[in-house]
Amino acid sequence: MWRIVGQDRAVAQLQAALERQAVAHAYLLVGPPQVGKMTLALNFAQALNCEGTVPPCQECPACGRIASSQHPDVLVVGLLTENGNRPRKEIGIDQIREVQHLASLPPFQGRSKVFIIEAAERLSQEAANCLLKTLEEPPPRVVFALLTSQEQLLPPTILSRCHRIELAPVPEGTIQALLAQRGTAPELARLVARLSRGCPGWAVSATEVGDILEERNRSLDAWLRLGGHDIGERFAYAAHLAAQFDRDRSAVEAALKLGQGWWQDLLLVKGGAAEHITNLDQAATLAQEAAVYTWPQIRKALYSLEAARRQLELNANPRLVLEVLMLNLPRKGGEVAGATP
Amino acid sequence: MQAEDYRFIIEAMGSQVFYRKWRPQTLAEVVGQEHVTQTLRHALERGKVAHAYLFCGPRGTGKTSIGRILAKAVNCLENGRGEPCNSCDMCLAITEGRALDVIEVDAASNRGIDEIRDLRERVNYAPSSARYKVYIVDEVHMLTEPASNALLKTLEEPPPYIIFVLATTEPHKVLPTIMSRCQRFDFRRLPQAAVVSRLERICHLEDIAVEPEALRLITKMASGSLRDAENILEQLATYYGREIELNQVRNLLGLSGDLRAKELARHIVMGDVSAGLAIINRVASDGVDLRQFHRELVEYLRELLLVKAGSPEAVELTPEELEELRQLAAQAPLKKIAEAVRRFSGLDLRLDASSTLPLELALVECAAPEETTAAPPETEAIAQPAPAPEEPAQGEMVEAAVAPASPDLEYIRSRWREVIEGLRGAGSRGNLDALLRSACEPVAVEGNTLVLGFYYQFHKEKIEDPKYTHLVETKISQVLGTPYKISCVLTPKGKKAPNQSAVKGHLVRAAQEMGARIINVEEL
Repeated sequence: MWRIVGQDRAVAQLQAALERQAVAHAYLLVGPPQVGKMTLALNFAQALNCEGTVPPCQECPACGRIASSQHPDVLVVGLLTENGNRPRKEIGIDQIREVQHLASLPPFQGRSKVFIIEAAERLSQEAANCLLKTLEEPPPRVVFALLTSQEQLLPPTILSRCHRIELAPVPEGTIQALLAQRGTAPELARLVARLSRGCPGWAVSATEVGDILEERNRSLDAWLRLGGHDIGERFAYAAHLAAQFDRDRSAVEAALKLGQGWWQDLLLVKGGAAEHITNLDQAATLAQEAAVYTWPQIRKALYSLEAARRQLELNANPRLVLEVLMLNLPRKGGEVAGATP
Repeated sequence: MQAEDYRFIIEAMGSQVFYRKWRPQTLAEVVGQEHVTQTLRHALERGKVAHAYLFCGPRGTGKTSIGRILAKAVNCLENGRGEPCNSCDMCLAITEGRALDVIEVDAASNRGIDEIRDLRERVNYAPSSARYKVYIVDEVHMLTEPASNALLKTLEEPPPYIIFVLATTEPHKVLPTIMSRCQRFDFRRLPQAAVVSRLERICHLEDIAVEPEALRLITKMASGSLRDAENILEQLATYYGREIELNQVRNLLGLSGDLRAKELARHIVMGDVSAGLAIINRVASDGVDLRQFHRELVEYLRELLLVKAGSPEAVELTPEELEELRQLAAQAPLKKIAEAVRRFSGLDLRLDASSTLPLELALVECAAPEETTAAPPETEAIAQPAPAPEEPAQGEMVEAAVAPASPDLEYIRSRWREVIEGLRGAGSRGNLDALLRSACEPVAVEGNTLVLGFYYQFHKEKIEDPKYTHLVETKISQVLGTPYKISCVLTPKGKKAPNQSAVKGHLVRAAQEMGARIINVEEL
């Protein structure tokens, strides 16, 4: 039994490959973060090594060991952390050389060795090139599964050597049902399912890890208030985010994404498509706010947020980027402040 | 399926993937690189094989394959001056990858100088059983510079029994000194027809029935790489079995052919924002690939544009499709349709493939033009400060339309910089703009005469020269849209009124809000 939600087509492709004895040696699993790529890859590794009658049975020792990351023939390769918990920025060539070495050895216990490369778009150029030959013609009984949420960052030489399997965002109803099954209250399930944008992994984390939703609420509150704040308060918020950036970059990126989501909701409400908003629990507030802001203001906010996100990605000074963003965000009732888009 | 059955899968797995199984084993089998295979065949026939080759080209076009065939061809026990026989011991050993004298080096893994030194040592040993020792070096662009230089030495004076075949997808990264010592072949992206016919052959050998249209679609998706095409074919065969139809291909590749693209186009043109937003979001929540949906939308808008502009023959449409487009085209002005095409075709959805925001924004921009102040910027433009008007010519096209009937001094002052920039390079010494920039400023407007205040007599006299006066007046008229005469007066420096436009700058205002005061204003 495949333990994964909402990816029937992807599962069917892999199942067909197993049944027809046509398993490729390299797969590329593509999809947004936390949609289920790792889960699918692990299930596939189980299916390849399962000792039961209907792979992946989830009950035999092999399936169990894979599920608890203890199977010697299933290896996950990802970004290493340096001392001090900061993840490295790239997957290095030394990691891939290690993979090549391990791939040359026959499997210890299982039938085939499975190498799962997480965040494959983070392979350094050297690492990616090093992987090419092995990916093209690996030793027998080796399967590679490359996982990525940003396929366009992978070199075409790598893409070319893999069978591509796409994991599409999961329908909201499916995620809602999953959460209900796990005991989440219906209202909350509905909200989280909507917020997850089709990624069950995120939805489950959000209901299990208390911080996630709390952080979201706090962040959303901040964005909401910015509209009424003067420049001093806005800059204070920018300074706060900038300080946070050094410690935890992804939290700030998430905050910006949240801000974008907020203004996108305003666009939807103002445009007459309120039923499609992401932040379901804020419907009333959004309706109020949408009446207050003009179209040029909403567009400006969205462009400014997108620009800020891109600039941060390109390593511009975070404090500067955030302060400029604060200057550009519209003020309630005021004219469109800042430079004309 | 029983678990024991998997045993066979795993064992057979190594040779199952199409692009390995059906690798060409003779020059004749190679698809689409006739300029390479012919030349090599002639070289083989005449016994004039070079000692070093460099194969350059995109992925999946035959570089490694031809390298291996060449290795067989020169070493074949039966032949040796043409195609390999593929049945003698040598050919079989090479095909199976176990020939000691054919060494494949992965330059991306073995990119350092130590590995190359190692290689150079072994080059000195004669082949153990073959005629030639062949080194196939793949991804040669990945060698470090010291390693490349070390390889160079060997390429300069190779022993007579050595042949090097270097392969790369990035020729610009290969040392020119290496390149000059090799016979270079550039591999092309394969033409569609070649790929299709190869796929047909594979289908025949694998006993798969595929609709010809489907093969063409697969080929299109592979963009000239045979390996990509073979992969897609194999995935389809694995998933759908031995009979593949066109709509199955579309399905697996996420090509929706979704009719909602047409519906959305209609809403865009008609300006129905809420209906458009609804479609975008429903399409997204149905799991349709937004990038593909976007492509189809843009294609449809383009067809609409061509029909509206009066060139329906430029697109291949059925009579029904044409009629549908004509009706829609009648509902909106050409300008609006063109605007829609421009905005939507400029979107890049690759960065966040599941976000509906770019489409939603573009829809809002198109459908509510009266609220649009200006076209949306490239994001880079926001990162840089607003560029100084470099081309008054561009400025005047826009401004001429909105030039106020009786501009006041403020307005002229705000455009003064453009006038100066426009005079760059003018004057007998090309420094007319410098004269104006640092030595004067507009101080008053009297009717249609602009009074320029000069700080020094010298500059005033220069500009009063009729030649220069004329130049300045012409440029002013160009920039401002109305003809002006100039009159020059002397104003001692220090009595400059603060430039209002500087004071209005948004950063200045923001600073003022935080308690700053303007002490001095200086022109740059």
